[in-house]
Amino acid sequence: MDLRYSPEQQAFRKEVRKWFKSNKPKELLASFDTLEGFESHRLWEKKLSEGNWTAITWPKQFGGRDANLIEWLIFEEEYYLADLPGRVNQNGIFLLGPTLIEYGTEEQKERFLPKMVNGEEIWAQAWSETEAGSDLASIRCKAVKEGDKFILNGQKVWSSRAAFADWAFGLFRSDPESSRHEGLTFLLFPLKLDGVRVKPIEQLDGEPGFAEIFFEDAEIPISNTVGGEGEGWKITMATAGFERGLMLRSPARFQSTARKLVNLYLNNIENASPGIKEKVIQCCLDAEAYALSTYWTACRLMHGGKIGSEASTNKVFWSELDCLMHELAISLLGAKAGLGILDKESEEVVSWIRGYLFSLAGPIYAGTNEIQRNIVAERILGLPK
Amino acid sequence: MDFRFTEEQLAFRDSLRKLLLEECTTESIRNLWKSENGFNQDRWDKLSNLGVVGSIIDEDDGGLSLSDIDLVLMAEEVGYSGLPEPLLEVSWVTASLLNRLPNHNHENWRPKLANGDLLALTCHEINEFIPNAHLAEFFFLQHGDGLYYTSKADVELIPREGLDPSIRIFTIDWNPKRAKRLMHRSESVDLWQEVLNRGALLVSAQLIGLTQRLLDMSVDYVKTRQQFGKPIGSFQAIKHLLADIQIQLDFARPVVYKAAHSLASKGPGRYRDVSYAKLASSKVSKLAARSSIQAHGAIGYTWEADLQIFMKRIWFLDIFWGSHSWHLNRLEKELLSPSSKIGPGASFV
Repeated sequence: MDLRYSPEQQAFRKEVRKWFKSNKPKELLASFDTLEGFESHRLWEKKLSEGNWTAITWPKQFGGRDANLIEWLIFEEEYYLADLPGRVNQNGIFLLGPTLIEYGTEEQKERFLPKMVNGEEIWAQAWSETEAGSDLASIRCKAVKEGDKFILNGQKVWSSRAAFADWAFGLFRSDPESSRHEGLTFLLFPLKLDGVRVKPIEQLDGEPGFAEIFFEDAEIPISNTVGGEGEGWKITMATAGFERGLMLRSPARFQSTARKLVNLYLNNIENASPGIKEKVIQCCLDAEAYALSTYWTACRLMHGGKIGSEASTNKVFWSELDCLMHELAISLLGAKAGLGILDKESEEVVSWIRGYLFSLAGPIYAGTNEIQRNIVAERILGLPK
Repeated sequence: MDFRFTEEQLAFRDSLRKLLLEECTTESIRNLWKSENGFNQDRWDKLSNLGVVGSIIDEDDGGLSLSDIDLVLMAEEVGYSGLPEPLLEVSWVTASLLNRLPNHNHENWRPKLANGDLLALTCHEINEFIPNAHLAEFFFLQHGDGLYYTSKADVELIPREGLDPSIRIFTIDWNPKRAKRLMHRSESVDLWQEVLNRGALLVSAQLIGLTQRLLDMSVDYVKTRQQFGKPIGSFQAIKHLLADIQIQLDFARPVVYKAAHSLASKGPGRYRDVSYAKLASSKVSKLAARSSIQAHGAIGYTWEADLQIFMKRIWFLDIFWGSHSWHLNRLEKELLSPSSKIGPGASFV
C-alpha cells in the first residue's frame, strides 16, 4: 500500500491545473438546459477538446489520452477545484463512448467518436418508456427491419438532454415475438430526423432537462446498431455499468460540495440548528469515504479487477449523500431558502437551491435506489428473488 | 498510488482467519463465560505460534515487525470471530508502546510479550474500564500525560459487570507515588496520542469485522427462515434492510484502511483519518446490530441466540478508545474551519 502520488501523477495534476487556469470561461455559463446555455456548454466542450481534455480515459486514437483511473480522478479533482462548467455531453463521453469503444464497429468509432469528443454532436439517452422505467426490460418501442433499414415506432420518455441534443442512443424491441430481455437492440439515431419528434419536458427547476421522443416510421440504417441485433440488453447493461460504476459521478463533485457546505456552515452559524454540526461532519466523512472507495476500486480495476454489482452500492451512497448535503445547506440558508433559481440573489445561494432540486433526482435516475438495493441484496448478498 | 494490500498481507490474514474459524467457535466463546478467568490459554498459544501475538514487536526482539496496515486486516478477523482474548490491548497496543520505550527500560518485556508469555496492559485515561485487567502482570498507565508502570501487586482491580459477557472489565485504583515513572509529561504526550490513535484504529477494524459477521449471520437466517410459504429474504423490506448494511460497509472499509496507512506513515492527517475510521465503523456496526435483531425477529432478542456475542462486542467497542462524541469533537476541530483540509484532492498528501 502506497498512498502517495507518483512524480508523473503530480506533474499531470500540474499540467491540468495550468490548462484550466488559462482556459476557464471568464463568465458563468447559463444552465445547459436552456438553448443559450446548451450552446455555450457545447463551446466549452470544444475548448476542452483543443487541449485533449474531453475524454482523457479514451484511447489516444479516438481523441483521448489513454489516461488511467487515477489520472481520471486527479483530472476530476482539478476540474471541481477550478469550478468549471457542467459536462453537457456526459451521455456521450462517459456512457456511449466507452460502449462504442468496446462493442462498436470500426466504422461507428470513426463516424461518432471524433464528433463526440469535440462537442460537434451532443448525445441524449433514450432508455425509459412510459411503461418501462425501473422495469426496463418491458420496453415496447419497435424497430422493424426492412432491407438495410430499421423503421422505428413508439415513444421514449425522460430522455436527458434530448431537448437540444443532436443524437441519442436507446433500446428498441427488434423482435416482435420476444419478451423481456430477449429481442432488444441498441440503436443510435439522430434527433433531427423525419419521423422523430422531440417534446421537451420542464423539470422541477422549470428547465427542459429531459424530453419525450415520439417515433412515427422513422428510418435509420441498420449500421446504427451497436453490438448485434437482439443483443441490446447486454450492451445496455455494459453502458449502465459504466454509468453506475465510477464515471458518472466522480468523488471530487461531492468533496467540492462538502467543502462549500463547511464554508456555508461557518458563515451562517446563526441559522444552524442544534444537530447540524454533527451532520456536516458526517457529510465530510461520507464525501471522503466515497473518494477513498473510488481510489480503492480504481486500484483494483487497474490491476485486472472487473467492476460488478458493487457499482450499485456507489449509486445509492453518492445520491443519498448529495441529498443530505443539500438539505443541510437549505436549512443553513434561512429565509433565503425560499427563493427561486432565477432570483437575483447571489450565485452561491441560487446554486444551492438549484443543487437541492437536482439532488432529489439522484436517487431516481440511472436506476432508482430501490432497484439498486434489490441488486445489492440479490447479487452481492445472494438473497432469493 | 497503490491502495491495495500485498499478497503476503492477505495470506497472513487468511491463515489467521483459518485458525480462528477452527479455534474460536461461538460454543468456545460461551464456555469461557462460565470459566474462572475468561481466557483460553490453548488458543492464546496457537495465536502466539502463528506470530499474531508478537506481530508488531520488532524482529530483533522476536516479533514480526508488522505495521498498522497488517494489523487492520488481522483486527478485522478478530472482530469477525468474536475472539475474547486481549490481542488488541496486549499484543498490539501495549506492544507498540513497548516498541517506543527507551531500551534501558524494557527488562526483556518485548521478547516475552512477543512469545506470548507476558500479559501487560495499557491504561489510557480515555478508557474508564480496562478489559482483561485480571490477566495482566504489568500495567502501563497514563497520569497527567506522564507514563508510569506498575506490577499487579501495586494496583487494586475493581471488577465491574460488563455488557459484553465475553470480556471481563475493571476499574483500576493506583497511586502514581507508588508506581515507577518511565517518561515525563513532555516526553510522553506524543506517545499517548499515538497509543490512542492505534487503539481507536484497531477498534474500528474490529467493528468492520463484527459488522461483516452480523451481516453474514443475518443473510443465512433470512435465506432459511420461511413465512408466508417462502424465505423471508425474498421480501423487499428485508432485502433493503440488509442491503443498507452492505452499502455502508463498502464505504467504511477503505476509510479504516486509509487510517491504517496514515498511522503507519505518520501522515499529517492521521488524527482526522483515525477519527473518520472510528465514526464510520461505529455507524455501520450499530446499524448492523440493530438491523440484525430485526431480521432475526424474536429469536434475535434471546440470550440463546449467538447474535448477542457480536452485538454486545460492538456496543462495548463503540465506547472504547474514544466514544462517538469524543471523535466527533476531535473532528470538529480538524474540519470545521476555513483552512481545513477537505475538498477535492485533499484525501492524500
